[in-house]
Amino acid sequence: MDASMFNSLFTALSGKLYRLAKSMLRHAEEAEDALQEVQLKLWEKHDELDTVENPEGFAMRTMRNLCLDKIRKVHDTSELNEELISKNKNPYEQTELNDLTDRIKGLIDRLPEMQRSIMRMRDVEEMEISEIAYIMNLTENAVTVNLSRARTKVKTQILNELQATNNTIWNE
Amino acid sequence: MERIDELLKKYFEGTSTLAEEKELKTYFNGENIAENHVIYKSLFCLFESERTEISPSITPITEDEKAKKINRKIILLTLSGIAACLLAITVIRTPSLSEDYLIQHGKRINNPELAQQMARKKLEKSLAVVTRRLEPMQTLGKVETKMEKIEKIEKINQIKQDIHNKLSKIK
Repeated sequence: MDASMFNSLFTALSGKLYRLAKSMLRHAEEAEDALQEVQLKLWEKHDELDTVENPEGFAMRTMRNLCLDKIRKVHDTSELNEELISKNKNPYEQTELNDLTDRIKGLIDRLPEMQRSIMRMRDVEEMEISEIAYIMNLTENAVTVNLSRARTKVKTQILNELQATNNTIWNE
Repeated sequence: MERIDELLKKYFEGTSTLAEEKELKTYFNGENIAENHVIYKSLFCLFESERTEISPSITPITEDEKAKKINRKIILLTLSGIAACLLAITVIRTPSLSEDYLIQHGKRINNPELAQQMARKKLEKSLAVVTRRLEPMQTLGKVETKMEKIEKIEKINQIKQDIHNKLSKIK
């Protein structure tokens, strides 16, 4: 694959790659750095890219692995701990989440990394389960289970919030 | 609305297809949303808005990017090598105070000047011994040269004799 073909492919994928990195690293600047790193990593393997069956999946997988490495370096894997994630909500963030869309975004952000990535790849990037399974290095069944858990958690939280809002209105 | 309920059920179970999920997104981004579905509107609208987020601009790769990287590696390795050599030279050449002594006949001499003087004397003696030992070799060389001269004289005499013999035959 020559530079021009590579640049075309990477430009087409950069949005997806950036959003995946941002969702995992939670910071725009870090996601931007990750995007540049992945660009160089993929260019180093540009000869192999011709033979890769699914270059998009390969690129997404490379980005996910890079982000996981970054998270592990910074947080020593605690980022991936479900319990820690669910408690990651401070008063300032809560104040900022004054709109329902933002609150739902916050709910998704607090999901465990695997569920969060799977949900975003499916619902935002509209990727097939088989593609997600390849990127996440999971079976398709495991992806479906995690996707269901993630969506159910978000639904439960939405219903809880609605219930809490109704209670507040009735109590007032 | 039953269709949407069914799709929502499948969606939350994680068993809906991409086409069914697109149907849900279209429904929730529209205006005719049933009252009992309104709570999910924000969820499906969020996905649409997130997809529109674009990546920052990236510098395109050039063909010589790999060469540049290899060159950078070579430069780095060269610099590391030079640094290592300089360090080694510094360590070797830096005089250590603890080494400014001489042991002679089991006796330690700590005065560096005296130690250097004695070391020099020892070296001079060693040189004299080596020179003396090489003298017979020089004599051998002279003999060899003389032998070569004798061999040459003998050859000349032989040629003279040959010429003389031929002349006598002619006569």
